[in-house]
Amino acid sequence: CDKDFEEINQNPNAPEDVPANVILPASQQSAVSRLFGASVNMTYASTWAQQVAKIQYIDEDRYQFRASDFSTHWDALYAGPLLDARLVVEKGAESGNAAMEGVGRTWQTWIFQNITDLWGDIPYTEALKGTEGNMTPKYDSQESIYTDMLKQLETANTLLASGGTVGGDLIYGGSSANWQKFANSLRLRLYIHMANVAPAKAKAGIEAIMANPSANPIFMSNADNAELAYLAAQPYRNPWYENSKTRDDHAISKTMVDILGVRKDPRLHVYARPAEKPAAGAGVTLDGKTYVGQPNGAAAQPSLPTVSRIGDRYRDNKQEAAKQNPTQPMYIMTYSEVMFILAEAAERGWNVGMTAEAAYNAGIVASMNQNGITDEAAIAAYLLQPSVAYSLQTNKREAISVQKWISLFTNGIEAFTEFRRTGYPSTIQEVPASAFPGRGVPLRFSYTDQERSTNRTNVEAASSGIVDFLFGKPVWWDVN
Amino acid sequence: QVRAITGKVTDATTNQPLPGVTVLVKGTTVGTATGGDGTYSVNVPEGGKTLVFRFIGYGTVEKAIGTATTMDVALGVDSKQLGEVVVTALGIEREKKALGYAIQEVSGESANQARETNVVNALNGKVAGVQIVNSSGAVGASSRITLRGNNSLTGDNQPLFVVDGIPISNSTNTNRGYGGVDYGNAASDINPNDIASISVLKGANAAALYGSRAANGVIIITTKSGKGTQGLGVTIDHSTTMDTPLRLPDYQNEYGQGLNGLFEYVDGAGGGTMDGVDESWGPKLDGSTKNQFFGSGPWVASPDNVKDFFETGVTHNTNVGITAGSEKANIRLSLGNIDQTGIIPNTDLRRHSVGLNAGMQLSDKLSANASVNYVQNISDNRPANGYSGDNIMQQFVWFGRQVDIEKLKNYKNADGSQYNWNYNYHNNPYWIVNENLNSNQRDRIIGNASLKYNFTDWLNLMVRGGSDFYTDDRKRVWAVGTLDYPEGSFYEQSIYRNETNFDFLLNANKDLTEDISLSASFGGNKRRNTYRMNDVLVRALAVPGIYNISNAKGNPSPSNYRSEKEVNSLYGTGTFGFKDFFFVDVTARNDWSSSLPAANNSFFYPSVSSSLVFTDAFNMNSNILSYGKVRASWAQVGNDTDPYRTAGTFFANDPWDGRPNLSYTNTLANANLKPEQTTSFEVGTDMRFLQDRAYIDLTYFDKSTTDQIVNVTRSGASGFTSQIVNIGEITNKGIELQLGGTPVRAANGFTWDVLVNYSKIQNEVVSLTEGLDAYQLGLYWGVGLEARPGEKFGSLVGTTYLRDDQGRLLIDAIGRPRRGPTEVLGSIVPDWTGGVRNSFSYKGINFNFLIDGRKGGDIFSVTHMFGRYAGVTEESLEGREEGLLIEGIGPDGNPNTVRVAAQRYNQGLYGLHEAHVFDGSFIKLREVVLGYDLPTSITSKVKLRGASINLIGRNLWLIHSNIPHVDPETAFGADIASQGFEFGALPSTKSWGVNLRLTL
Repeated sequence: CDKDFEEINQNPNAPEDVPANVILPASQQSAVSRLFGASVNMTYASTWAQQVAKIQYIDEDRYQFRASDFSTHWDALYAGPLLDARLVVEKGAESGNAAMEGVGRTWQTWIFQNITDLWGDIPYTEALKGTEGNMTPKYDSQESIYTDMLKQLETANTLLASGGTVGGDLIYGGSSANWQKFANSLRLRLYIHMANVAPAKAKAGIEAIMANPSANPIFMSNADNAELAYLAAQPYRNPWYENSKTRDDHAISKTMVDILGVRKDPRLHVYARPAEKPAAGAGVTLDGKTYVGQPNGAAAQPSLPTVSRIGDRYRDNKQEAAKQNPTQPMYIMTYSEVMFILAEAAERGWNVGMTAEAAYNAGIVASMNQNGITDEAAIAAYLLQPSVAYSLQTNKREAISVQKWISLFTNGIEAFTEFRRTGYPSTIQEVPASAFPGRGVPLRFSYTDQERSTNRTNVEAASSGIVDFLFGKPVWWDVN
Repeated sequence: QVRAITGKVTDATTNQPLPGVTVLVKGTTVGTATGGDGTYSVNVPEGGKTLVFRFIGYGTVEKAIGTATTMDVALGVDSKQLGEVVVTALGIEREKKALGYAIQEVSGESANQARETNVVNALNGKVAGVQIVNSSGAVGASSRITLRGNNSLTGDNQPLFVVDGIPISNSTNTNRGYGGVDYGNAASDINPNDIASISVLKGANAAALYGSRAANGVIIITTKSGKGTQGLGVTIDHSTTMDTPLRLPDYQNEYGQGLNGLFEYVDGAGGGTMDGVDESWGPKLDGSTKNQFFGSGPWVASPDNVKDFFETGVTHNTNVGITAGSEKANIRLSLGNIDQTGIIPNTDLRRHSVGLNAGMQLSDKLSANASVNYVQNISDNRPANGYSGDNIMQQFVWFGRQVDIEKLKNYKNADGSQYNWNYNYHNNPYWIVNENLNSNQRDRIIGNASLKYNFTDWLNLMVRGGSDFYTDDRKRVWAVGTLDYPEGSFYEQSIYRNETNFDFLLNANKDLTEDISLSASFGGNKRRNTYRMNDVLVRALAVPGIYNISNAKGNPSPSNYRSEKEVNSLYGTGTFGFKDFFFVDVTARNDWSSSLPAANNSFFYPSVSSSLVFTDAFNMNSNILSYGKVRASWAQVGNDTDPYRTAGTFFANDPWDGRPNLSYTNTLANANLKPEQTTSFEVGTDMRFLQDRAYIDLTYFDKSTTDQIVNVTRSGASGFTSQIVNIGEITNKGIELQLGGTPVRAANGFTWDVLVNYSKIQNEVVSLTEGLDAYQLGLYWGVGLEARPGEKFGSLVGTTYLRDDQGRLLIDAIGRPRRGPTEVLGSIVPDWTGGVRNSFSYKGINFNFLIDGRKGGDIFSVTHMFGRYAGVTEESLEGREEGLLIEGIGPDGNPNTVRVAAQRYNQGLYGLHEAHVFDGSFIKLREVVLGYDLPTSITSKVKLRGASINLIGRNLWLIHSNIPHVDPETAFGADIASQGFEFGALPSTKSWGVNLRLTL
C-alpha cells in the first residue's frame, strides 16, 4: 500500500528519543521517591531497623511482608530509574559530555548499591540489557558487584574532575564538583560496608581516598549533602509527609526512644511527637515532654493516643498548618554519615587523617545541625555526657555505630544495612510476634515472585541457602 | 419486471399470525421475513416464479406466484423443516443446511423477553458454548462474553459485534480491581427491542470473512426493519422491573467492633480502646451499655446493617416501534427510553435511543438501505468498585457488626466534615454515594447506508459505508474531607472512539444445471479506528465543592492520547452446491494492517467447509430420523495488534517544579512482530427425529492460536517489566451440544418445549516462549492469574498450606498452619457450562423458565480472606472463646496440641491463598417469564392488533453454589486480568417485573 499507510503507526503521543538532561531528573525523582518512599523505606527498612514501628496493620513489622510489595519495588527500580540512569550514561558518553556521564555512573551506582544491600546477589552485569535481547539476566555475587561499583565510581570521579555542569539535575543543580564529592563519599560508604568481610581492601580504599583530597574530594559540610528537596505541591511532596496525609500506621519505635532518651538526645523532639495521652509512667520524658515509643512487632495494636508518632519535620502535622513540611528533603547521603565512616575507619586504626573522636564528634554535630538543632552550647553539653563522650565509651565501635544509626533516621535502607553489618544497636532483637519465630531479625529483602516466574533459573541459583524468604543466608558483607 | 407481493402468514391450526417467517423468492437471494403481525411484502424480481415460506418447527410451503399480488399462507406444523435460513458472515442469508460450521440463532423475541437491558446478558444460557460474566450489580455494569473459551493471552477474547453488517465497538474500560468505575460494555448500547435476530458464529470457521477480529467469533445482530409491512404498524412496550441484591455475605452477629475482645469509643480514630479499628474482634454483643460513635447505647448486633443500606432498584424500560411500508419503501422508527435507579442509593442511569431504518427500491435494479441509531447514556452517579475506599462494598467486608446503618444517614456534621463510625479507614457509605459522584454521558451514533444494484438476476453489487462513534465524558469527584482525599480532588476524562468501514461486495449466484448451483462473492473493506482521550487530574481543591480546573490547588495533571489504525482487506468466497444436499464453501482473505511492521503487515488466510444432508443424499428419511446432516470445516484467521507497539517511546512524568522529566517505556517494543494466527477445525451434525419433535446439534471443535502478540511480563532486571512478543500456542478443544424437543404437543393446543445447551471445553496452554515459565494476566493480593505451559489457561497461582510428605498440614509454634510454596491453586476455566429452558404454552398463555449453570471455574475470594481477617463473616465465630485446634503436625513432629486464638488464626490466613480459593460451580434460575397474549376477539374490540402482558424474573435464585458469601458469577471487571478474582463486587441483582406490549 501507499506510504501514508505505514505512517499511520507512527506514535503521535510520545517521542522515540530525548536528550539526557530530561531523563536524568526522571531517574532522580523516581529513584529517591521509591527508595525513600513510604513502603520500601518506612514500612520495611526503617521498621526492620526499628527506627519506626507500625501501630496499625502491624503485619510487616512482624516480618509478614506482602510479596507483591517486593515485586513492585524490584521491577520499578530496574525498569525505571536504573534503566533511565543507564541511558544518561550512554547519552553522556555518546555526546562527549563527561560530566553527564559521570553523574549518570554515580547515580546508577547509588541505586545499585541500595538494591544489592537489600537483596544481596542481584542481576548486575547482565541487567538492563533487554534491548540487546537478554530478558533473563543472571545474578552476580554481591562481592563482584561491589568491586565493579567501586570501579564505576572511580571512573565517575575522573569524568567529573574535568568540570562542567549538567542540565536537569535536581540534586546539585548540575554542579560536577558536588557530584564528584558525592561519588567519593559513596566510595567511602562502599568500603566501610566491606570492612568486616574484606578489611584489607576496605582499608586500602579508604586510605587512598583520604590520602589525596584534591583528587578525591569528599563531603566537607552539610552543604555538600546529597539530598532531594521535595516540592510543596502534589505529586512531589515528601513521601513520608504525603503518607501521613491519609495514613496513620507508624509511630516512633521504642528502640529509638529508649536510645535517645537515655542520652537526653534533643533529636528526640525532632524525630518524634509527644504522646497525646501516655499511660502513667510510660515512655521517656525529656524537657517536660513525654515520648512513648511503640515496641516493634507487638502482638497487639496499641491505643493510638498512648504512643508517639513520627515528628512534624517528617510527617504532616494535621493540627498546625504552620508546622507542615511537605518540602522536607530526603537525605541520599550526608556529611554526618561520612564522618561516622571515617570515625569507624580511624577506630580500626586506618589512616584517614583525623582521629576517631574528632570524626565521631563532627558526625554528631552535623546530624544535629541537619535536624535543625543549632544551639552550640547544648550540643557541646550533649557531647560531654558520659553516655555520649567518646573517650568514656568502653565499646567505641558500638558507640560509633549507635550514633550513626541515630543519624540515619529516615534513611531506613542504610540504617538496616548498618545494623546487619555491625549488630548495633544491640537492642534491636527479633520482634515478639514474629511471623517466623526464632529466626531473628530479617537478613534481607525477599526475592520476588515475579522473578520466580520470569527469571526462575537465575533467581533459584541465587536463592540457595535462603530460608523462609528473609532468613538463612546473610548478604555478603554481613558476617557479624 | 419487479413486482411486490404482500400477504400474511398464519399458523394453520391456531390461525395466529406467525412473525419471523422467512419468505424467499425461489432460486434467488431475494427475500424477507414476516413482521410481528405475520404480514410481509416482497419484491419479486423478473423471472421469480415461486415463493418459499419457511419457519422453524413448521413445514416449508412453496407457492407459485402466477399473477397474484397478495398471497396469504397458513403453515402447518410439519417435519419437513429443512430450510431454516440464517444470517451468516457479511450479512449473507444462507440456508442453514448448506453451512459447514456451527451457527446458532437467537430470535429477538427470545433475547428480549426477560427485558435485559444489556444484550450480552440476554444471551445467557441461550447459546451453547457461550460464557457470560457480569462484573457487578451496579447500574449499567459491564458484562464479559466469550465463545468457545479463551484463545488469546491478550486481554480481550470477546467476539466481534456486528450490527446490520457494520462492526461496532464493545469496548470496556479496563476496570481493574484496584478501584475504578464501570462504565459498561459498549455493546450494551444496542436496544434489545430493535433486535430481529442474533446469529452467533462461534468459531474462526464461521467468521473467516470478518477478518482479524473474528478469531473469537462473531455476534451478528440484525435489527428490525419495516420490510414486509403494509401500512402503519405501531408496537408499544413498557416494562418495570425491580432489583434487589441476590446475595450478601453471611455475617456473624455475636461480637462487635474491636480487637482482642476490647472496644471503647472515644474518637473513632484510635483515641479510645481499639476504636480506630474496622474489625469485629471486639467484645461480645451482650446488650450492655457502651460508648459508641453516636454516643452511649446498648452493645447489640445490627444483623441487617449491610442489607439495609441497599435500596430496591427500579428500571422503567419503554419502547415504541413504528413501522410503515409500501411496495417501494419501508421504514421503521424506534424510540427507547430506559430510566434506572440502582440498588445503591443515589445511583442511576438513563438511556435514550432513537433508531431509524429505511429501505427503498429506487429502480428496478437499484435499492437503498440506511439506518441510523442515536444512543445517549447519562448517569449522575455510578458506583465505584474494586479495592478502593471509593467502593462502598469495601467497608462492608470489614465493618463493626454493631454499627447501626440508620445512624449513619446524616453523614455530615454542621461544619461540613464527615460523620462516621470510623475515622481511620473508611468514609461513611452515605458520604461516598452522596458526595463523591462518578458521572458520565456517552453520546453515540451508529449508522450505515448501502446501495445494491442487480445487474441481472444472478449478479449484484452492494456498496456500503458505516460508522460507529461516540464521545464519553466522565467525571469523578472526591469532596474535601474524604479520607483518602482530605483536600478534595477530581478527575475528568473525555473519550472519542470511532470506527468507520467502507466495503463492497459483488455477488454472483447461478444454478449451472438442475443439480449444480454455484455462487461466489468478492469484496473489499477499508476500516479505520480512531481513539482520542483527554483527561485532567486535580489533586487538591482551593475551595471545597467547585470541581473546575481553575479551582485547583497546585498544578493540575493533564494528559492526552490519540491513536489510529487502518486495516484494508480483500476477500472472496465460493460456494458449490449439488442437488441441494451437498455443499462446499471456500473463503480467502488478505488483510493489510497499519499496526504491524511494514515487512509483516500483509497476511492471508483461507477456510474451507462442507456439509452433506445425508438423509436426502441417501434417502434415509424415516419417521424416526427425519433429517440428518454432517458438516466439517477448517479455517485460519490472522490477527494484528494495537497501534504503536513496534517502537519504544519515552513517557512524561509530571513536571518537577516546571521542569520536564521523561522516562523510557517499561514495555520493550518489537519491530519484528508477525501477525498471530488461529487455526480451527470442527465437525458436527444436525439431526431431527420423530417428525421433528426432537433435534440435536452437536459440534466438536479443535482450535489453536499461535504466534500470539502478547505483552509478556519480564524480569524487571532486564530493564523492562514487559515485552511485546509473538509467543506460544493455546488450544481449545471441546464439544457443543444443543438438544431440543417438544415432549408434549396436545390436540388442545398445549405444548411443552425443552431446549438444552451444553458445552465442555478442554483448554491448554501448550507453550509460551523460551525462558518464560508463566505469562501473568493479572495479579491481586499476591495471587497471579497465569498461563503456564501444560496447564489450563487462567491458572490461579498463590501460596499453599505447607504440608509434609503425607499431605498433613504443618502447624507453627502458636498453632497456626504454616505457609507453603507458591503453586497452581486452580483455574478460572469451567469444566462445562449449560442451560435448560422449558417452555409451556396453552391458548395464549405461555410460561417458560431457564436454568443455567457451570461446573468448575475457580475463584479467589478476597471477601472470604478479609471477612475472616476482620472477623465479620460467620466462619470467624469458630473458636472465639476457646480457640481452635488445627489438625496437623506441630514443630516437634507430633500432632498439634496448641490451640490458637480465633483472631490470630483468621488473621494468619491472610495471604495464605489456598484457604480462599473456591470452586465456582453454580446453578441458577436465570429467567422466568409468564405471559398472556390477549385473544384477537378482545383486542379487535379496542382496535388493537395485539396485546400481551408478561411477568418476568431474572436471576431469581442461586440454587446451588460452592462459594460462600458471594455470587460466583462476579468478577472485578470485564477485562481478563480480573477474571477469577472476587472482591467487593457490588452484589449482583435479582430482578422481577412486568412487561406490557400493545400492537396498534
